[in-house]
Amino acid sequence: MKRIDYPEIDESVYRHQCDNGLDVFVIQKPGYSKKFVTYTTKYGSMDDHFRIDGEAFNVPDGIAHFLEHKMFEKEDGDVFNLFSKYGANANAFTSYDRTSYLFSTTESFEKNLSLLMNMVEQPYFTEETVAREVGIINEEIKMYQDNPGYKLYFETLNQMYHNLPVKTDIAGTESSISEITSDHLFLCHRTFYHPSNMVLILVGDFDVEPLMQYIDQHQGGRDVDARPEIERILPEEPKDIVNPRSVLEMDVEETRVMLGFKHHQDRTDASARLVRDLSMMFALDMVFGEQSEYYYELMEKGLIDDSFSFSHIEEAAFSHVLFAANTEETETFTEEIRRICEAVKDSGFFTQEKLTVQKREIIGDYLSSLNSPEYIANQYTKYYLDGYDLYRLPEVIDEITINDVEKHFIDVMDSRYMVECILKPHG
Amino acid sequence: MYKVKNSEVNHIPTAIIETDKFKTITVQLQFRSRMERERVTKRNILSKMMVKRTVSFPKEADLLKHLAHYYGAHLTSNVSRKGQDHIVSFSMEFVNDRFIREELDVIGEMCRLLHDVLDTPSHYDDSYQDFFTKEKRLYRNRLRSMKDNRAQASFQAMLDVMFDQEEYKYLPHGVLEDVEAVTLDEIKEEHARMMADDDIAILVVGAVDDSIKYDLQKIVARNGKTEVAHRPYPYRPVDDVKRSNDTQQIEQAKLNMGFRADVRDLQEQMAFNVMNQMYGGSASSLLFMNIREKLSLAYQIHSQVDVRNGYMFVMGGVDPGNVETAENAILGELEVLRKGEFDTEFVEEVKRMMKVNRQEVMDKPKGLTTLEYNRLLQEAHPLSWEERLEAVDREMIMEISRKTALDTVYVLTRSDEDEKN
Repeated sequence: MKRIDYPEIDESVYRHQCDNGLDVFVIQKPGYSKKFVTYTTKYGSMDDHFRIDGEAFNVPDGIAHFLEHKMFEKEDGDVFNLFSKYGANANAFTSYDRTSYLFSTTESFEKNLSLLMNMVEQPYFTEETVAREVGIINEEIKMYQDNPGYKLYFETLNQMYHNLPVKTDIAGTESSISEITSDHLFLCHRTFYHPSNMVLILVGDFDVEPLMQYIDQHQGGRDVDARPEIERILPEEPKDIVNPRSVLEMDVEETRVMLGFKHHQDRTDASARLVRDLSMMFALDMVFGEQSEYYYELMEKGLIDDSFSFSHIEEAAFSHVLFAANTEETETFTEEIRRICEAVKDSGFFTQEKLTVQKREIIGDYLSSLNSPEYIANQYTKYYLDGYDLYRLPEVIDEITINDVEKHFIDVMDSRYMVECILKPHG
Repeated sequence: MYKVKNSEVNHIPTAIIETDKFKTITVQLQFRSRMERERVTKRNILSKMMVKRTVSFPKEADLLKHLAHYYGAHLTSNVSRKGQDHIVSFSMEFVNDRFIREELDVIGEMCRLLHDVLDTPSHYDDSYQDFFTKEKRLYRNRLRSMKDNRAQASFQAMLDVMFDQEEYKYLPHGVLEDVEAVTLDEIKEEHARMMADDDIAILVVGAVDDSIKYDLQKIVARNGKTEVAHRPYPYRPVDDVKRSNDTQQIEQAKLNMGFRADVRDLQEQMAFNVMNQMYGGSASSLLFMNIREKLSLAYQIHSQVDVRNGYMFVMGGVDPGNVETAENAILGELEVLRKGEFDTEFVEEVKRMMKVNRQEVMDKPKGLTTLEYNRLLQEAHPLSWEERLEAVDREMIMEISRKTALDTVYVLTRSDEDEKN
């Protein structure tokens, strides 16, 4: 076990790797009653095509999410209930690249921890329970179909990406999930829930030594197969977008527009991606944030309101920028965003002074986020799986230069790779 | 873990919650008045204007830059409802200067800024007219966009039916139809009323000591104590169950049910709270386990309560073909509680979960301020929260669920025409 101290932010982390390959991090939060744990597999909705020890497999869309639902059900009932019995709140979520199981509690900690580990490590599926789950997930898919923001989001991804599975709903479709069998589920569990593909993160006020021993003992008692050789197969994605414009109609009150700037992934290393992600966050805030003159220009023209948002998404397999707004004047909005993006390039808009303000603000946001055990566990996991350390973020932020900010903005905000999607009321 | 010191600053009740487990300090001001239709819309516009421009920072971007300079301090306003009251709160959250490597009086400046925030509307004149017009537009758009959130829109539609002639149908975030007519002068008058007549409280949480009072004194002052009685709406028995339906082109129907309960005192409020957790308020509840997990009738299903006022609401997303079945099944689960067809273990499990949830709330700065504010408002009771929770038993659950009656059923569903398509 190794202890790492971060005196600048007054935090410390204990790291340990179990013999079976599982990585464990204990993050101390003195004075907290709550203990928050996430158990995460590096397996998400995009992992639908893979090779194990040389043999290729194609599984139905939505299976990672389906598996997440099914892990809570065991032969003697629903594990959700047991967490409640022991005074814990449990949950789980699936994203493009990972599935996390979590609980928080202030009592019976070890009981809940062993419940979580056993639940995630021991699969139980039958054809009957799989069939019942299809009904529940279908309702979940339908619920999202009635959500205009969600519909527009997936439409935008579908206009940007030809082949990458990022364009498919994490929950799959009604037809894809009906193809899922218990054999598929066992296969995915055996492959991706291997300890060497997982990480356990515990945040709270702990007695660390006995806790690590407890985890080690549990992990040592498992009967684990040899580590599988996993090769994820991602389809080739052309640099081009699919379609520059698309219009949807729905039974809604308001017209919405979403713009997507697809950025061709050069599959650069993890630290270069982190620099790009942070640089783009600074750049977008400088140009379109509430401290920018352009923001007020758009506001004065009545083109945007509080619904206006923008974000840069940086994942291992793809990256893009999204803008969203509720506005009747969709064409003018799109034109203005395009015009502003061009206007700030090579005009001396990006200055050191602006960057300094942004950095002070982001450090404050970061520190206040560290009040939350949930934030720490989720973000620590995300950064760890991406190859960085959440607690080293201030150092990386410190090193970002105004040149990084300008360079990445010019590179990413290329209107040749922009799509515009509109969702409007019928008629 | 933390220590609470109650006192008065400039005649205003103040709770200082000392703890060093957070990296930030939060200063919060609560303004409480009676919830009235004429008031809420104005107060929503006013409170948003107040946190965007001040006399010292007449441009929004300048105020934001100033906050960013103070390491991303967060200035926010919020509105909510408690009993018959409407609450407007202002919060300033900023980094503890232990993490700042320069000489900067963050607490002092943030308290000075809060004074500026609270004082500025008294200076509103014609030069604020454009700003006011813009804020009205933004507010109207926020209210309008709620209509595209089916769950929220159908909940509001249910309240409209259930509380047809009662103030409760107005949500704390105001009434869309009232926005247009509001003038800047009225905003200024509403501000003057808020500063003069509201019940104010100050709450602070973080690594602070008594010396913070010196800074708090700068924020706001009163000549004497102002008290607004805090009480719930009177209980109204249900005559007939009201029903209403709307249709839209949607995939999933929204089933909303409203209940009224005769809840008399703090102990009964606690029993009502526990009953809700057993019924549909938690992942181990009857509605979640049976309607969703066992019968697969809904993906979403939950119940929530306004314990002070004795209202319970059930919200579910169900297949349009299953609305009636789901409604009957939901009412069937209430019968389970009324008849006592549950074991003591279930009651104890839910109580344990509530205790855990309450402890978890104490790990959040805003959770602590909420708990302390509730304590300031609460009438005296011989038992503590934990003791009242402990006292809840099977019989109390059966009794309170018998006193809970269905009032309204509202369904937003797909029209038959869409069904055929």
